Amino acid sequence: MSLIVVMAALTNYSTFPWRSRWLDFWRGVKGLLKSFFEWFGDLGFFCGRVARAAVSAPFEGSELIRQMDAIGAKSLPLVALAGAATGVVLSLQTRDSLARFGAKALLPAIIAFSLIKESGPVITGLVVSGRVGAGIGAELGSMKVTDQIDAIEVGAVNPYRFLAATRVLACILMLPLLTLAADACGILSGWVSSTLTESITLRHFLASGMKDVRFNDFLPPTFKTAAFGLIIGLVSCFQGMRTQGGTKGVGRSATSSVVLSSLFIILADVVLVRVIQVFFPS
Amino acid sequence: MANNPKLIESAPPIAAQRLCKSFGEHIVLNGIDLAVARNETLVVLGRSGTGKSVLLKLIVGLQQPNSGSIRIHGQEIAGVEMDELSTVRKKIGFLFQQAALYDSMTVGDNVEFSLLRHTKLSEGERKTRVGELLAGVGMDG
Repeated sequence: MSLIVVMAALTNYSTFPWRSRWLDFWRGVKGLLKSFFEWFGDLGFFCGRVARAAVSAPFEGSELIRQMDAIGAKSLPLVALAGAATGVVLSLQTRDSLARFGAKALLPAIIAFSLIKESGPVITGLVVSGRVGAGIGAELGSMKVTDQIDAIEVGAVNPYRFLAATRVLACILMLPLLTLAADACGILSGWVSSTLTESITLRHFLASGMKDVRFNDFLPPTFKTAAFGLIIGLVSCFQGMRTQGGTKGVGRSATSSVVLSSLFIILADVVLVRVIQVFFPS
Repeated sequence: MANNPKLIESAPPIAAQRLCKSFGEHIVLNGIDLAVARNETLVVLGRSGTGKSVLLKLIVGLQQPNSGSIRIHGQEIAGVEMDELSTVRKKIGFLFQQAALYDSMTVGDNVEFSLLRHTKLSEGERKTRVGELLAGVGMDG
């Protein structure tokens, strides 16, 4: 009898409000976990469709070139500026520290190595994820909520090929090129900043900075940005093409495209740096 | 599913059998049978939320039914992959409620979009055709 009373009391949420709150909390956690795994599952299916569309005919060559222009050429000024600013900051910040240890002669090498191996690729990835990720998320999101993506599909054109594969491929191809631009602008602005403080010729600066740079220092970090491009393209297209909820949904897609692609770029960088160290030792 | 759609012109343009579609617990279509003959005009009427748009989206393959069969000119389209539906979709005209024109393109580019992908017309022939079609509705190419 007493057991029945205890059971009844336990099921009475008003008697035990903590139990009700705990159950609400647990339901919330379960819902979040379910959404988390559903998101990754849907992303997996999306990647499969895009991969299949990218390697099968008919190829959307002219759309790919248009996207390479929109993603690559139009991002160049911003990426170049970000690279240049990084070069100046590196030069200003490290000069004093190096002078303290009597190693001021290493300044060109530090700027070059820092930009080529890490700063250039990561800054390019993050800048492009901000500019391009938001653009793709908003554009595809607005196409989704106005039925334009369905209209493309009904018109016997595969939207995964026409809209997603072209953007993903353009991101993969353009990121390494933009990284080269960021590296070059960073090194050049690093020289300008250095020579304003203490005169040094560009030839001497480059010779001193690049003399120990090998292909293993240069190629893997530059080409790892192709992986960043893959992340930006896939995440942004995925978020855009699953947009729901009108203009608010478009805003959410644009924001989440930037946030998620930046987050995954940072995580991928940690993994890729270790992979590069293992397979391409300096 | 790797079947190659072959349209049978003598078969009914649209035929659906025991078509069921639900979203979670909510059943929208429950065992719909439908056949539209050649030259027949069929109007689907119903209150909001009764599944008219869902039925049309199932017929063009934008959504997949939970069960049942949809045949366009005798070709089963339920469960067929997107690329394999292209042959069927080229035979279908579909107007969305919000028009769904590609708003990043001009009207001419919108008309040319399908011609560019589904015909072997030269650029000049395409432009001429687009001009003719636009002139037909009182617009300049």
